[in-house]
Amino acid sequence: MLLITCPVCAVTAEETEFSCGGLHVQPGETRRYARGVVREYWLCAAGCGSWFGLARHSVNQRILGSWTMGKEPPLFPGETA
Amino acid sequence: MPPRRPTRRYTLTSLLKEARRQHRGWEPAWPKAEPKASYEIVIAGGGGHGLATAYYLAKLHGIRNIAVVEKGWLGGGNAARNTAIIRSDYLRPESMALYRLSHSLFEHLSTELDFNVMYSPRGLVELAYTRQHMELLARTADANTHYGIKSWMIPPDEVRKLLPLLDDGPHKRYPLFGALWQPRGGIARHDAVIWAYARMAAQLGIDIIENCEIERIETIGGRISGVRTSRGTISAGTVLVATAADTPALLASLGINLPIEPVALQAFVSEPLKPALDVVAIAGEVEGYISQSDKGELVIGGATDKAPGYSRRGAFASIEDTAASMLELFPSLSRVRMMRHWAGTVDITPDRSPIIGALGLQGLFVNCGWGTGGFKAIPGSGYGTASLIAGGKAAHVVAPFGLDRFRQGRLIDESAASAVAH
Repeated sequence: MLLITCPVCAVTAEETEFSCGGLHVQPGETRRYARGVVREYWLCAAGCGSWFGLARHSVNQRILGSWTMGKEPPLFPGETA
Repeated sequence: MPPRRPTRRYTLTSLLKEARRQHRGWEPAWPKAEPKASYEIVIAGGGGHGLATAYYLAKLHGIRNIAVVEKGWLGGGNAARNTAIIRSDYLRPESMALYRLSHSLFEHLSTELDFNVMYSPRGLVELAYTRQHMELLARTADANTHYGIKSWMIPPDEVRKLLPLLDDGPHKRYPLFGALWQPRGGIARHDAVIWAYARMAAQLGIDIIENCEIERIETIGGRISGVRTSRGTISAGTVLVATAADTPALLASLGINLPIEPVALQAFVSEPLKPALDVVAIAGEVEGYISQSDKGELVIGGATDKAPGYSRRGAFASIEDTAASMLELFPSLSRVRMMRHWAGTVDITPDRSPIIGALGLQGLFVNCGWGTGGFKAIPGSGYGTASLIAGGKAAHVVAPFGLDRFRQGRLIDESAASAVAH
């Protein structure tokens, strides 16, 4: 179970209140899920309805951070570009 | 007394003979092989599809210089993380050919492999609670009949006879419309299928190397030259990658991009009960499926988790959803205690059909993307893939499943036809 914080409305809730929108990719880029830190789009579905960015580890499920669209943070520890 | 030859075959006479000497003479099912410097074929991944391919390559095509390389232990991945359901009621002609072959191989698998895989064709019902689902199942049944797979639609009265536990009646919000019935659908013991293939493959001279992770696939001048593993480099002219959700990472360094998404799929096993459920029941509307194993445990599965990932832990939300769907169907199970629970990382493709075939580079083959339904396909997939690698006559069964179908727009769309929409 992921405990996610929406950076727009600041609510912290379980993953069922959100909706995963898949990997964070630039247009024309083909990126697939891999073991390690992944950046995804998430929707605050049951809350403010905003899309935001989230970084989590695809194996141990740790969440490293979330950000509003367009304000991408630099690389997290253990993340490869 | 001279040492006796170890007992190899599993027969009544060998059992009696071994009983007389306290079962000390059995040969190990497969020896722990050390990697040699070179093989003709290296198979990455000691799951069902890899082992079955190795077995049929040795048995039917006479290629025995093969290594099956597994990073963990045999049957530690998705091969042992499924709900062991066997059925062939698929919708598309390509899928029906493959799953029908697989189902027919299951019928004689115990004899063929000299190992009781506990194949139990007890019958399988797919329940429909909406008109749309009835139409889809009727279409599937018609397609199955056309392609020689025995399945047909049955009315609610017959479903009630098959499933006396099913909660049904005028009080239900959604009445039962009917079901698809496949009389030869059933279950088998998934571990036994893996062990049987591994044992027979080893007896035919194939090296099964456990605890050996493939780190990289080596190439020379556009063709495969071998693999680099955690236990040294192995050279081979042909490599089959059958590593499920880890296949994209292994092939990414070769510039091959596979459309595969890793998601956790969970299953649950209850405490053993007296016989109460003698068919496999699948309900797409509530996203759940259930069968009772020969030990009496209820084996329950549901939908995949909501967010992709390689964690084999599984989310609580899916556990709750699956429990809710089972109680909607069978409220009498509300006091049944769950004993075990596991999650496997399934490798889902956009059209829910597998990816099997050669991949551009000479000597490179892939067999992955089975998603949530790979167990039932193990014998057929192994049979077809072996034929594809060795240039045999059964290659046409797996030929439509090549990666190029995504580029050509020739999808084999089973996403709507699968028993539970994942």
